[in-house]
Amino acid sequence: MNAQLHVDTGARALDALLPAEAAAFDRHLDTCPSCATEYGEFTETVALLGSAVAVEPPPSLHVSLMRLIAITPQAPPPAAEPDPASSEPPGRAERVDRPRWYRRPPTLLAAVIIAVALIAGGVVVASQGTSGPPTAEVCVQRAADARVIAPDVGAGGSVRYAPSCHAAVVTTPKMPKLAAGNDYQLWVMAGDDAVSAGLVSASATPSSVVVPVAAADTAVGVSVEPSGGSRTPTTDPIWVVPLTG
Amino acid sequence: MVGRSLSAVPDDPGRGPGDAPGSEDDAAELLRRIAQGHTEAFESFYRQFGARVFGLCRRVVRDPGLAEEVAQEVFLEIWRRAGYFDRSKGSAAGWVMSVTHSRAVDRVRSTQASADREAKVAASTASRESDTVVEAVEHRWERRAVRRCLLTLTDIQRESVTLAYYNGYTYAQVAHLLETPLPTVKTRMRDGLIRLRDCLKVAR
Repeated sequence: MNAQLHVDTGARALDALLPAEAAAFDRHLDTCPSCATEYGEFTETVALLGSAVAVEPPPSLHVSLMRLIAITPQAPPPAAEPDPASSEPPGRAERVDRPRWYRRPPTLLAAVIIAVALIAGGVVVASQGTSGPPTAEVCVQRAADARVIAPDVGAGGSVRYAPSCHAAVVTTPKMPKLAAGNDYQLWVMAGDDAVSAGLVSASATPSSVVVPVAAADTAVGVSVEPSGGSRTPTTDPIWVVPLTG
Repeated sequence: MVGRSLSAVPDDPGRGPGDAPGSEDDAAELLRRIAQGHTEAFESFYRQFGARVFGLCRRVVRDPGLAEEVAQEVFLEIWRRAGYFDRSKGSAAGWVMSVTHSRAVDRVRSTQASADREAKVAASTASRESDTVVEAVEHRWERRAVRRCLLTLTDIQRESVTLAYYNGYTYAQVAHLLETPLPTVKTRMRDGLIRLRDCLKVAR
């Protein structure tokens, strides 16, 4: 046992080491069973310190989480069997007809927009670490159930959608420059609900982006919105790719 | 490594965290089902851990809005990575609280300016903050046991453990606050956790 590193068990369990020290300690754990045992016990001990300060969360947390997990792909488990059928979540049921999404008054929660930004900026990026599971993009490229779908509104571009990855690679066609004060905005639709998947730059060449897609989602589309984007679509889409059928 | 459980009941025989609605076995089973994409399992899991995760985030990052954001990240990570939970390496509660703490700590450390500001007041407020928020009733056992057991630590052990855990400070920051040499703080943290572990009877 390395005496110096063994002393670190306490600080490590409290997340109090500097990053380089934490990494050295974690490597050491593999070769030091007594350190691993103690570290495990400390992890359970500090979990009780955490439980002792439990506070009822605001109801909004529950609401936004249930909405978010519906659009958040899960990382494939460590020794996953590639079986798309069994990894589909239950309740893949009601599919609402696609084309009415943009006619409806805005009903989206702001939290969903923030959350999608969080997914796009955080979770998807985080999954690209070298040691983590394959990224959503790699998953969609390799998935046996992936299919390429052409737009039914607008021309050019496509969506490669793999239900087993809960994600799609959206390739938008070339898009002309917009007048100042406007942006292209990408949406993922579930029936009448549209969730922003971010802005799309005007571009002379097609460009690709990965978006999370839940079982209930029915289409992906692009609309022209005021600069900076909208919470919900305010104009008819110029490009729509159905995910159903 | 062998599976561990929180087995003991310091001052309330017959009643412990394992007996509360939602036992450890349930939680591990729920994680298994979450990994398969069952949203209703996730919802049950949230009912079991929502108060603990939010409470710890709140305690570490202080700001309720920010705490909600971090708690949301934690549960999304649980949703995404439930398949990585390995019950042979520890309990579901240990795993969840560990994910929660490291996320919360990352958040406070990413705002270094506010951490520096907080460091000045931390030492005086650290030990009595738990009285100022609305506590979740179902974790009375943990609260009482932890309070009782923290009192068995020496002052410097207790301060080292609580400043690191509840305030998210590194051992170097704790050493600075307590005007104690760096290696000493690491030793105090470990000694403090050994005492806590034995007092709380966290068993292998």
